[in-house]
Amino acid sequence: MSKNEERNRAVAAARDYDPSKVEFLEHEFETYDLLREHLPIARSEVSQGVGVQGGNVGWVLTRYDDSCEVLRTPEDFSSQSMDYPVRAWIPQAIDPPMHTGYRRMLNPLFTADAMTKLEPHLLEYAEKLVDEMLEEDAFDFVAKFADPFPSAIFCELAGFPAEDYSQIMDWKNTIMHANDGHPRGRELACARAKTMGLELGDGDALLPETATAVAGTTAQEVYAYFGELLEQRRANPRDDLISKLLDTKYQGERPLSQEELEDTLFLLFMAGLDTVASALGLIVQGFATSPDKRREFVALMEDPQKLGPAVEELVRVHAIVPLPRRVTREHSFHGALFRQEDMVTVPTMAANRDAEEFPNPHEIQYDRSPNRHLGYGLGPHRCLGIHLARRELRIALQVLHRKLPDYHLDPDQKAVAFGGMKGLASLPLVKG
Amino acid sequence: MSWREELSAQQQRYYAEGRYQTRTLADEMRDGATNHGEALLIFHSDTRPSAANLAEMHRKSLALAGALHSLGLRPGDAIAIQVPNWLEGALAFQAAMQLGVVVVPVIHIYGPAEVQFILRESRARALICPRAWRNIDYVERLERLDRSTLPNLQHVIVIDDDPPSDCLSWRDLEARARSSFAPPAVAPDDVCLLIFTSGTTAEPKGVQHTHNTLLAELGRGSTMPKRGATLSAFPSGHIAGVLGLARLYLNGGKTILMDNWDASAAARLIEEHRVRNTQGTPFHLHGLLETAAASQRDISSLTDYLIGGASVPPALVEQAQTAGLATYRCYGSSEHPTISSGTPSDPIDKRARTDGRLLDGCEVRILDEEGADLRRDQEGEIVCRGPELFVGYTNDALNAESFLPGGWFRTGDVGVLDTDGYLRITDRKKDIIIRGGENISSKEVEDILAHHPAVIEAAVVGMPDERYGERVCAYVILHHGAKLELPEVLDHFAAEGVARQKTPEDLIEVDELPRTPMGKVKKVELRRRLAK
Repeated sequence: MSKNEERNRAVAAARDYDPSKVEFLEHEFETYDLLREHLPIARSEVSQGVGVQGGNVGWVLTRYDDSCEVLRTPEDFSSQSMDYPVRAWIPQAIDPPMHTGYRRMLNPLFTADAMTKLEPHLLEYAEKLVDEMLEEDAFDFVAKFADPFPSAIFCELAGFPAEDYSQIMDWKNTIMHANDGHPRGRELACARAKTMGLELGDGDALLPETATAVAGTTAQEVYAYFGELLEQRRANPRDDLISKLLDTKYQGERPLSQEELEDTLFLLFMAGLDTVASALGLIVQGFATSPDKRREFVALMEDPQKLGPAVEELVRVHAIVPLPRRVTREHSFHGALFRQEDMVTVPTMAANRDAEEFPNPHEIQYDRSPNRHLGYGLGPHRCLGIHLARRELRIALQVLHRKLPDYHLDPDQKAVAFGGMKGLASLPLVKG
Repeated sequence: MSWREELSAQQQRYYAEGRYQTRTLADEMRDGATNHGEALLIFHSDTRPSAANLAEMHRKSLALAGALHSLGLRPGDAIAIQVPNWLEGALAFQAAMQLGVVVVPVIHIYGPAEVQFILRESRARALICPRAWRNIDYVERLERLDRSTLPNLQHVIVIDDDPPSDCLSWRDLEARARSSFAPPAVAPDDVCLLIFTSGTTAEPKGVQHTHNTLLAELGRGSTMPKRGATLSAFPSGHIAGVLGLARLYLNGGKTILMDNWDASAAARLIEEHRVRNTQGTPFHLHGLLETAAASQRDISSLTDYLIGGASVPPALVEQAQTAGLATYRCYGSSEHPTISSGTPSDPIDKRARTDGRLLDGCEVRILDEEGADLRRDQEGEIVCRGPELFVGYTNDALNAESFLPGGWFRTGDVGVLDTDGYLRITDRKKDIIIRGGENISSKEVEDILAHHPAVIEAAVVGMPDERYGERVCAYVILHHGAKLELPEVLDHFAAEGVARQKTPEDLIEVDELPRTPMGKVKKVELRRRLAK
């Protein structure tokens, strides 16, 4: 194919760029490579789903360096970028300097030391789930392990009652996965739209305004639920995040308002339930189809010196988040004119596979060094729960492979993927 | 590397920097119609006044694209548009962009000889022109075209309800409009504009622009203020006219276009519409200031005046400043529409005496006779490159000599880049006359004069002119005993079928011409004589 034809393909790919479409995932990395080579700062015709006002445009960046620059420059690239249901989440949607205050308050709750104390519990719970999962020869890894493991841990840590687990997951799926190919998310959102008397639309996707209305109503319920829990913990504090949040002071000066408490819980709720689950699903799916890489991992995983870097490499290769940012002022970014209110998407999965930063980017190299990947983000918004996520991933992968070193995809049932903050809704596996 | 490879390497760079993008002019026009559909275009004309907003323009042009498609025009074909600043011209331009058809704007004064050349060189499949406008009878000109050398030209559309029998009327074209027409996909590197410019060669040169080069020029937004009403009097056949038309879709303010420059009408329109921005040459600005003062028109709303197209007398800039008007100069050409531009906030000294600073992404080098780089403040030939640089002439023979290694384009102009980064054009290497903003090739005029039986040799230079900047002055060596007067020259040029503006207005009979040792006429010497 000639250079011009390739470029025209890149142009078409950029114009249609929509990572929330599950079909996009079929050629995801090929598309990012094509864009990085021909259109590293590419303008898209598809509003990035969130917050793009009329006349403003979407951009997609695929180079590692550009991605770092955007994530490190919150004054030009704001995180107040999405249409959040009801209110913006704290601290994800807040820019410095307010953001700094919130992070100072939240960071102590998620330190490495604090998370290390959880390890025995993580191990015990992972073993229990894996044992239960392996009672069958064929099983859905997502339903049996990837979803419940981090979610149940998080609910416990946060202080959400265990009996509310399935309700919590339904809320999360309705808000996060109404329109990204997630079957349960869509089913829940459609059901709710019907009870609300809203039009669904004819295509695969829900009408955007319907999805927004459904997310809003669902979020109201979540807020009400948080309100009750906060009420209970005010009366009877426990050793959980809700109680700790009630105890902390913003800038050491004042307690959080009711709204701040709820908005913070909302973010923790969304971040705690989906991210590790998605990463686990994608990593294990990769292992199911690349037995050599799996065996290599199994061979090194008992060596603590090697396990950490290996899991980092897996997170690099299986980054899940296209990060949205909003341009705060008109400026030239290298040469492209970014206007105020333009939306910039930084797909971490694209930056993480830039050969300029990561030689042989598509290959898993467990001892890759340096490995400054963006799987946990970068800059002031870098993942708050990184220490928990790392421990969950290590322990989950260790426990799974100790008990089940060999497995493959179920030939009779296909895995179901979803786009956006991508992941798997199901991953049917078979032992052996 | 060939010039083509050099340019291709630069394009690659502009993509890497994000300067080249995924869009076409059709995208911008569609978005303009969506984002500011109510923005009004007023076509001021004595003969064919009209008005439309961007939403209407978009709807009509899409239907018109369907009509052109039904005539057999396909992406990559060319359509010549020799229409003054009228609604029809703007619609045809927009329709062509929708259809992926290359627009060939033709300056309205061009006669059958130039039009013949342009139609042949561009292989245009269609031509749109008025039936008659002002003192020009376009139909009479059409009859003088030699269609036998124009096998590609299948349709002539005349903007009149009663066209000649072998032409379509504008109404016939509109009758073919299909509102359901779905425009084809167009690539941003496709050529969308082929504009002919007079240069050092006798024949006009076909300058090719793509969506990317034009959008790089338009998208910066810094060459034109965005708020308030705009008055545009640049003729539609010029690069400035084309860009002005495209720009209004991006900016969305009210725009008033004039089909003919009339300083008193301009002053009235500025007063009526509270026009804030306009552009023109020194000729236009001078006329406007004079008329406004004489007629007591209130043109105080006008704050920004972008001045270009010819050498700009500093005194004029200062005079405008006194009248409350911040004028600033810019420098560019059909090949590279804006290389540098001042801004209303530059110091008056820089605005009066320089052509502004290089625009983002533009680069220039100043070279000596041997092609070596000169330092700041040294005068030499300007070579340039930038994302809005054209992608080559249609006549490939011109390209090899026009581009240097690295994709640098030889402007043929002489200038200085000062230590503050302001560019100043001091002279031109290319042998042209700029009369009221029109480039006239000296060589072309000389060739026509040489056809006259009385003339042995002619050398043509610009005579300084307060009104037009320059006018055409011919030095002629005549056959022994022969006589030549201006009226006879006028008849001769009319018979040759070229634009009237190219006809010499001064004739100086000489026995010999000053020459270099190589025998080349020393134009510098001739110009110097006139300046005295």
